[in-house]
This record gives sequence, C-alpha cells and structure tokens, in this order.
Amino acid sequence: MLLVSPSNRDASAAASDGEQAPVVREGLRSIVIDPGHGGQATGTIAANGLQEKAVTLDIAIRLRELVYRRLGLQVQLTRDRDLDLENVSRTEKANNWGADLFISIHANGFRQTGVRGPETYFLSASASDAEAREAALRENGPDDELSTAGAAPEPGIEFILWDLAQTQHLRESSLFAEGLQASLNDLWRIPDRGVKQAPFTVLRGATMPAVLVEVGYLSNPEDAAMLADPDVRQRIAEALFRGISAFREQYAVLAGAPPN
Amino acid sequence: MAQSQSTLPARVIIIAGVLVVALGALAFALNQLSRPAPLPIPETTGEISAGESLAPPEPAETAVAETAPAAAPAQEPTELPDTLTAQLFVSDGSGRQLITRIARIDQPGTPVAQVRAVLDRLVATPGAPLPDGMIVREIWVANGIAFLDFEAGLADLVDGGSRAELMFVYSIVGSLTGSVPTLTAVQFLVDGRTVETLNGHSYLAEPVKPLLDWSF
Repeated sequence: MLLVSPSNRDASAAASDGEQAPVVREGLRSIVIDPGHGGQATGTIAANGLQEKAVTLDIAIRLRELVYRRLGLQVQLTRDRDLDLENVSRTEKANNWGADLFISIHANGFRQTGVRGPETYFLSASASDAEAREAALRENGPDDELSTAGAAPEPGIEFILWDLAQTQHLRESSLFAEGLQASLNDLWRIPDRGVKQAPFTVLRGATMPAVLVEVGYLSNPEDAAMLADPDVRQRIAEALFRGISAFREQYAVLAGAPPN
Repeated sequence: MAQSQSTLPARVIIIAGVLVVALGALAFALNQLSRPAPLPIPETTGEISAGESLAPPEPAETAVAETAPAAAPAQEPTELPDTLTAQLFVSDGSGRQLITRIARIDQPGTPVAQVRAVLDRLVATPGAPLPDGMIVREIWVANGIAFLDFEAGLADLVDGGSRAELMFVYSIVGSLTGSVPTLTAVQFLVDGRTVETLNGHSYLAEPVKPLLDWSF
C-alpha cells in the first residue's frame, strides 16, 4: 500500500521537470499497543480495588481487535497477559518489529481525588537530548542502512539524520495525540485536560510516532467506576480506535510535508 | 685574626642551617606535586523526613498568585545575601499544574545546606505533592547537580499514577533549581542507586532538568 500525498504528487511533477525527486512513504501499516505495567508492577490501584495493569490490558486487547478487523492493520501487543515487562523492552519490541505507530495505554492516579479525565502525552523535547541521541545511534550502529556505502558516515551526518527523524516523529506524535485526546474528550464530556509533553521512560527510544494515553483517573471515584464497567472500556477502546483511524489518514499526507 | 678564626665556624653553621631548611622545603614541595589530586568531596547532609521539619518552624512565607514559575537566577552572587529566596513548586487546587510560592529562608550558606533548607521548606508547604514518610538519606552537590538519595521504598510511597510521579519529580526539580542559584538539575537516587523510573513513568536515570511548561 504505497500512498502518495498531494504534496508528493507535486513533487513528482517537479521531478519530471528535472527538479526534486519525489518523496513517498508507505501508508500506516502496523501498530504496537502497549498495555501499561503488568506482573508485579500493578500501577495505580483504585479504592474499589481495580488495578491499572488489568484495565490497560483489557482496553489494549479490545483495541487490537478493532484495529485489526476494521482497519486491517498489523497489530502487536507488548504483552497479552499479566506479566512483568521492562519499560525499555516495550519500545524495543516496536522498533525491532518496524512498527509505524506506538501507543502506550495507562490509567492515572493522584492524591487530589477530584482530578479526573483522559490525558494524552508525547515525549518532551528535553528528552531528545544528546544522551538520547547517542543511545539511538548506538542502537543504529554501523551495520544499519545508514552505513551501506562501505564506510561509516560521519557522526555529524548521523546526528542530523537522527534529529530530522525525531523532529518528524515528535510532530507526528503531537498530531496523533491531539486526535486521540479529542476522541476521548467526546466520551468524557468534561473540560479538556489537553495534550501534554513529558519525559516518559516508555516513550524514549521509540523510532516511530509514539504516545502515552491516560484513560482516566483510578484515584477519582467517578472515573474508577467508569473503568470498572466493561461497556465503558469498550467505548474507550473505540475512542482510541477513532483516533488511530484519523491519524492513519493524516499519516501519508505528512510524508511529503517538510518538518517545522 | 683570632676574630676571623672565631667567626668562620659560626657562618658555616648558619649557611648549613639555611641549606637544610631550603632542602626541606623543596622536598615537601616535590612530595606535594607527586601526589594525585584529591577527589572532590561533595558536601553532604543528613536525612530529611517528610514528617519532620528540619527548618525553623516559623517560615517567612508569602503566597504568590498562581503564575508561571520564573527562571532560576542566571549567576551566582559573589557575596551571599542574608536570606535565600526559595521558589516552592506546589500543586494548584485543580491538580493540573505546579505553581510557585515564595519563601525567604535565613541564608543556609553552602549549596548543600541550601538544598536541604529548600527541601525542608517544601515538605512543610501546603500543596507540596510529596508523599508522607519520604526520607532523603543523603544530599550532595556536584557540577551543578543536586544528588538526592532517597530511602528504599520511595516508589511505594509515591502514588502509582503518572500525574503523582510527574508532580513529585518536578516539584522537587523546580523548587531546587529555582531556588539554589548554582543548580541546573537534580539526580534522583534510591537507596544509593540510580533508578530508571519510580513507577514506570518519568525517566530518572539521568539528571532531571526543569521544564519550560509546568502544566502537565
């Protein structure tokens, strides 16, 4: 499924005139869904006993079904049962599989129990620091496709390429997060808590657009009651599905857009 | 003649004495140069508990309107003022963001003492998103980074949600970097070791720098 965006078609026309080569990208083909926590890492626990790890797994499984059946995308879960899973291995699975999109599902908690509602995060810019870049370069060592010319490219070139990719990923992550948050807001119908940026460990190292979504607060009695209801969890999965579906339409168009 | 014969041994003795002193000084200097440079010994302080205040019980604290926190002072003053103006980052009433309260603390002196005083004042400030029972075992400062070594079990004390974790981390980071002029970041340690995260949210394996936007 090779898609060419309108801007890419312009680029193709320009290329025929001997100018710039067309920029094309595959459409969205695959997604990794990460149910937060698991095993001994229960995550936050509601007053009614509901555990975050169970809520996230249930919603993730429901979302997998929707994405696979309705969009035909390849879907993988980082875990499909209750087990311990290191944070770094969650994005590693997505990277190794070559996924186009990564979504980590969580439920929130805070001592101020009046706080409620969904929130969606993508990686803060401060996490895209030199250390993270070096870590990414270590993962994409001299054996990868950047170094096919017989000699390793100059580190400066790798940094530039990595930085461009990260800028694009952050931009796309922001768009993806906005769509998910809007879809969840339709379900909650409370003042928007908005899309935010934070240095979440589970988003570091992802080599694709990646977001973390908090599907309400288990510390809030109303949210906890909602999350305890299977019908509501299904509606949350459907809201996330709508966000993914909307981003799928944007994804190919973004391919030809220059990064800001 | 007799006079010259009698003064000659005295001069020899004086010259010999001077030579001995000079050689001794030279040997001491060479010994110092050949020794390895001593490792910087961080300033350390004892434990801080969320339940006990080490600071004076009467804080000269002034509530400030809910505004965006100001940036930390750019330069360290050459002479310490009598008081340290602390920016204390606490949760606003809605739990949506961190806001600042200003407290003026008697000048603690060294950076470690400043960190200790600011942390202690933060613990005692209403709205501080710090868990009860939190204990900082040791504090030291090096290269503009405050190292806070928390007692084991911190992750269990901090509520399991990402908001609780973010508020906890950035309340401390904002308060310390916004109050202690020499600080640029905070390294969280638990039981003497770095941790990737507390409960699977904020990345803590490296020093944490202040945010540009304190609403999350």
